Amino acid sequence: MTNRSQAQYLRIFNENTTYTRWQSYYIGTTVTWQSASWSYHPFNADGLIGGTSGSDVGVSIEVPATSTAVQVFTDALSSNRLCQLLIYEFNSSRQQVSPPSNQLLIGSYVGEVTGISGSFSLLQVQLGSSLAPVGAQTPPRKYTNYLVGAPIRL
Amino acid sequence: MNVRFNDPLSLLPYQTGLLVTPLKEAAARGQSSLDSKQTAVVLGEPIPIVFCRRLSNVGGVFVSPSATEGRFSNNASTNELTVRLQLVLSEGDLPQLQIRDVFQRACRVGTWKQSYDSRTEAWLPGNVITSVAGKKFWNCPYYCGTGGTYDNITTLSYLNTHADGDETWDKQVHCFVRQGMKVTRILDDTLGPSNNVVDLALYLIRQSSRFPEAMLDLDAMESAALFTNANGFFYNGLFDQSNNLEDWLQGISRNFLLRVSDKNGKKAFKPRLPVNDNGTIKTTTISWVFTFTEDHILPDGFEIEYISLAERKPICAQMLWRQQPDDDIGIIRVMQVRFSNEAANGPFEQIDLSQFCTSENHAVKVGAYEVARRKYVTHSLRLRIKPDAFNSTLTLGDIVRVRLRRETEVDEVSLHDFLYEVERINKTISGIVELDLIHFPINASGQSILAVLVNNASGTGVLLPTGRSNFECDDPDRREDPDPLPTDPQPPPDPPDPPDGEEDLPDDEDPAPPGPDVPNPPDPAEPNPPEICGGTGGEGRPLPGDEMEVCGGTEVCDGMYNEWYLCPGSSTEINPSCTKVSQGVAVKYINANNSAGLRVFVRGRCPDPSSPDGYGPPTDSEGTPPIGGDDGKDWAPTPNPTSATRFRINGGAAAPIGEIRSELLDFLSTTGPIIYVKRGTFTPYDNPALIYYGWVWVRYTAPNGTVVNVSSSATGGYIDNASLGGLGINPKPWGGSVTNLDTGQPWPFS
Repeated sequence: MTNRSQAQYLRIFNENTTYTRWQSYYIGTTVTWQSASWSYHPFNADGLIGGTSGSDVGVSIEVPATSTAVQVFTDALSSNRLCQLLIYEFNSSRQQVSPPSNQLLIGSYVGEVTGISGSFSLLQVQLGSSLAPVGAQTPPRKYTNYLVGAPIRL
Repeated sequence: MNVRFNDPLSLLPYQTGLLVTPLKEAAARGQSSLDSKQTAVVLGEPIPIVFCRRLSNVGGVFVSPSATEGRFSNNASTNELTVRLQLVLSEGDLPQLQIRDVFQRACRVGTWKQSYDSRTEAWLPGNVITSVAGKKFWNCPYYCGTGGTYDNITTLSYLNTHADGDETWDKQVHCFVRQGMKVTRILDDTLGPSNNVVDLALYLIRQSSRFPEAMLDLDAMESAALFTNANGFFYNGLFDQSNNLEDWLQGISRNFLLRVSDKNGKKAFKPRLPVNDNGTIKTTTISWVFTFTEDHILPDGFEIEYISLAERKPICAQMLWRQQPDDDIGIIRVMQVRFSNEAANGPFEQIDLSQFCTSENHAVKVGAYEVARRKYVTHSLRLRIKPDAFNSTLTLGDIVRVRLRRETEVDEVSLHDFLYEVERINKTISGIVELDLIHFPINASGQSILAVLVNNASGTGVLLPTGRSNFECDDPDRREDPDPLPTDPQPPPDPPDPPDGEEDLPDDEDPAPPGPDVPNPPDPAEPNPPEICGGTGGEGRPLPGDEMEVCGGTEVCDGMYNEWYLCPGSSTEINPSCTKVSQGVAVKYINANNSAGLRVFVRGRCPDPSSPDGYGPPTDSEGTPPIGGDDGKDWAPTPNPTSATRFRINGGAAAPIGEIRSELLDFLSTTGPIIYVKRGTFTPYDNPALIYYGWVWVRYTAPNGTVVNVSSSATGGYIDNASLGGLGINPKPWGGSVTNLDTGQPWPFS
């Protein structure tokens, strides 16, 4: 009989550095997966893994508002760090000690921490794109005095 | 569990860009006004991007560059006017224009040069027009510009002369750009002009600096670029209108039969039609990746929304595009696309591609898609399903089949059996998967109906004449001259000051928490606690023997019932370790002599006839400082007594008060107003029992003139720790050991 389980992994990183690797399935344990160590930290994530841009695509993470979590996510928000969520599925009727080598990746999401809200004890972290749906961004450059001086008046 | 599907299913076709109706119809945006007045750059305007690549006589864009600098001079005798203009052609680096492609009005005239990343030619801006007798005065601009750095900008220098009285001197100059701004093309990874809208989108996304590279799905972008390239959907246009990037991506993608999608958090373009590996439209039988049946769908997990009649009615799509001859100015064309025998007399829906579309086939195929999707795409679906084998394989854009039995009639089973394209995937922590699907119509052969219609749609191939037959206003031989414009980059004549035009704010502030607590203002609804007065020591510190009372005006009420407590020195409030020492209406309390080190509290209660004991809830004061000091050692409250005039040691209960035992004189001494216990000079008395019952008397005069006697009498007749200001560490300190008196500290009357 299949006992379908999901394990979620969270990585916060930028171009050069991985700051945090968390997993929420193996309680109180640091596990090794894909040659990296993932420490335990409770969190839940769900949301739109894929969709049409602009239709509220994004992932929401619920995490206890521990000092560590507050620090990790506020740093990520302030420093434009990326957050990668990996969701694996496996048969948990077998061992539950470490990630099984044959677990299947059923969801993957890379986003920026676009918002944090919640209560004193629970944080809800929104992952998505910082590409604002309002505001002019293109063409990217505008005429300035530096570029063209004081232009001719015709 | 969070379910993030907040949008009604009916919005799905609009959000995916399947249904988009123009909000207004206007003149073709690709049209250029030829005989207008020369325009000038205005600070704050976007710097235009000329994005095009003319291939096989298709493409290119006609632009009207604005001026930043000018120089106007005339001949002192003939009054011939010489006009020089510095023009901004585009952001970025453009290959050199051809001599045949530069105009003033509709005429190929003047002398041109082109540079990148600098201004072109060395002339200085200014107006040096002089008045010539008998000639018309040239009324040229006086504010002629100052020059700038033109960083990463392609500039033109235009020179032309005008005979006396020529009124065309201030007319707009134009350029036909065959090869636009250089970018790194995604398909061949080469730096050069591009006509692929995906290249333009990537350039804009990267330049906006708001989107990490890790969130771009470059593989999908490359597939989309291959699709537009293979099907002849090219961008040849001027990008100069301020836009929201997301809006622009959504809008422009539809005109290239693409759509913007977020897959696994990564942004990408995706073709709206099935495609082959080489990017061409797939017109063969469509296969699907998974079939959903009753076994997969959860209870209440099926929701369907049919597209409204208004979005289904047949229309005639009027597609505006731009025909671009090789040797002349482009003209706007209109192609009407409709199904046979439908919408012959409208309604008409205009779709303006003229700003960037120079291919008739491109316009026709987009039009075919618009009218076909109205006819054949009928509904959208939302499913809630349990996880299964698809869970690790299903991705955005996959084609799936939904086959459900509908048993509503006796002896007859019908089927809801359609193909769909996956538009959204929502995965929850519970394992439930939610899918938003849009109908994917196929014909009897299993081909995508839309793909077949779009693939087969093509233009007439007819090229309209431009209507121009006279080219006499062109300078000789210009029309066929493909030579590139010369270049002449020059530094700015007058570098802008400040040089960078920027104000860099210092970034050396580390956020810090606020400083020490600032007490909140008292709540006026709460009674102020009573305060304790009567301490005669320094700063109002109470001493043994002081009479403590509630300070006048701080009573909670008239007739307040006072309860006095002595609490341990560490107490911050009245607690079970405190001892009630006195109580009564307006009663005071006199500190006991053995109370050193304790704190005094008063609890005030107001008369309340409804209370069993006649008094209401208590209001507690803050504690006083410890009597005689924080730890009992600082026994004397007077920081600097006027005098410590007398001391004696009484020999015991039987001895008369005042008897001074000379053998103990070296035990105590005075130094000025401060009384010390000498270190190491104590000589044990040969009869400790006598001392055991002895009294120590010290008398000093406080600064306020009060004469204070401190004695061990209150300790029951022997000298204890408190009565010696805590110096003694044994309640019977006279056992003969000098260590019983820690004489390292002053017996501080200071």
